Amino acid sequence: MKILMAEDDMNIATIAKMALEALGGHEVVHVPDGEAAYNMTKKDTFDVVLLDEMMPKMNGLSVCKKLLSEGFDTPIIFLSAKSQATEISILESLASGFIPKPFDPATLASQIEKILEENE
Amino acid sequence: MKKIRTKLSIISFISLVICFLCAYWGYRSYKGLESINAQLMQATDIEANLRLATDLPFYRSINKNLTAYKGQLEPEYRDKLMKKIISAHNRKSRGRLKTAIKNFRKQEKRRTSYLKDNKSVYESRILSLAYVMGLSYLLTILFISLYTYSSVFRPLKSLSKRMIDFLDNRYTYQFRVPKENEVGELELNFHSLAQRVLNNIEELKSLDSAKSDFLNMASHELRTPLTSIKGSLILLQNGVIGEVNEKSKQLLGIAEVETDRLIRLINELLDLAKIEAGKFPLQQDWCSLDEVITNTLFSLEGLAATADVKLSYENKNKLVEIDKDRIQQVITNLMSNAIKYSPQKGTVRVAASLDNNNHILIEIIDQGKGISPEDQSLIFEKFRQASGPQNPIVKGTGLGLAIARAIVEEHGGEIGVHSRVGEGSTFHFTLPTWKEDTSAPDEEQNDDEGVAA
Repeated sequence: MKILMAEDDMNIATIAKMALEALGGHEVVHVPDGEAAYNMTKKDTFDVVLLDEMMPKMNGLSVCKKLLSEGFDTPIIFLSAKSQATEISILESLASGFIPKPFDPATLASQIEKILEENE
Repeated sequence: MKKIRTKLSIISFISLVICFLCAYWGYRSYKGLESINAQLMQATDIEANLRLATDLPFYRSINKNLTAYKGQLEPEYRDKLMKKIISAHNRKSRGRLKTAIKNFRKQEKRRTSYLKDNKSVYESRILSLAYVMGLSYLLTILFISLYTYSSVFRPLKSLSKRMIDFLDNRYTYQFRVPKENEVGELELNFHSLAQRVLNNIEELKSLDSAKSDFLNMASHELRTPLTSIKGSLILLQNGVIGEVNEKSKQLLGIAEVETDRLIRLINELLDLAKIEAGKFPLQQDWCSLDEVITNTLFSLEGLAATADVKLSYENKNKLVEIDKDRIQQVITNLMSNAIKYSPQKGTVRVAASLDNNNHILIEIIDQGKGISPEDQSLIFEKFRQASGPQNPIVKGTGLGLAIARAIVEEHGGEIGVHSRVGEGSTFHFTLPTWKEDTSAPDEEQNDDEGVAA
């Protein structure tokens, strides 16, 4: 699978990338902010987009809304440290799925696969 | 600013003066009336004697009666006329006596009618004074009642309403020039007081929002590095970089367990801080109590197996209005404590029933060592754990019970513990809002949908 991952924290990005590539065998393209993520979707095609919620330039929610309004049909999954139920339900209603932070790198790949299966 | 008192004093004084004047005039008129009556009686008396003198002339006793008037009559002309009558009587001159009496009577008739006129003037004056007095009394009463109503009772009532508004958090300050009197002063003082309280509340609110900003920041800033640490440790353990030898694995394991503990501690601290700051609104819904407890028990099975402890619960078919996740957290905290302190092969029993207040009562009963009375009062406080050697299965953060108490109290329930050293402990908490679960499949259907107060 080819995954686009937007995450501003370099350490977390490195871990997630390693987890998905080394443990899951997926290809990961990492971008550091929301704007870069949006631009990247124009340049290349992906199987799934992982969005952090709190990012510079454009937050995950805005990127998601913008993409959806343009008819973007690749599944979007939020990776977020948000803990408020109302915030989570907003994210969940828009995207294909929500993975809370801190995530378990050992099972990250399988969590993503599970969400994609459910959305089939 | 003593307007009301001054006004009331002035009006009372005026009314008092009017009454006093009326009384004085009334007294004077009464006296005048009395003297007119006396004069009229004297005139009648004289007339009686004159008649006797005409009918039975020259009796000695009559002469004596007439002589008694000598020098007593006023005005002077009457006295003179009387003297003529007396001298005619003395001389026993019938013709002169007749003339003299005739003259006297003529004058007397004029005088009597004059006195009668005066008498009726006095009488009507006394009557009018009585009216004036009564009227002034009525007006004073009317003025005082209207004035106290409009200047005291009505403003007091509206002030009291504003105080109630203040108590109900509906107070808004409207600028109004207060009346310059005692009630206005009271109103002014109340508004100053309210403003001060509101300013303090405003200050507290801004402190509160600073606290909540800090909590949001802290939860993000503390969790992010821990996520990286834990993620790195897991990836290393999973051999992403290469084979890991046993000793390294052991160290990585310790680091991971301790990182987990730190994450748990931070999560609990932040949860508690959020609950205490009121930043953790409950997401309450009706849900099956059995389901909530069974799910929690299921999630604790691993821990129970490690500790070699059995878990049990009997279904009760009740629906409760709760924040499911929060109450699961409460049960988890209480259960993991119970499991922690249970002996091997022991049982931790969860029981649901109704207490005396018709609230759902959930009890978590263990067969552990029990808690001493002095520890019972401490364990619900932050960072307090029962003294004595601890079961090493789960290292606690010392926050579990404090969080449980905060959540239960947020639900309007109560939490507590009954325990005797050597006889195990029973932790219990109540949930006030419940009803029968009529969709329950195998129990008897029960129709009394009692939602407890």
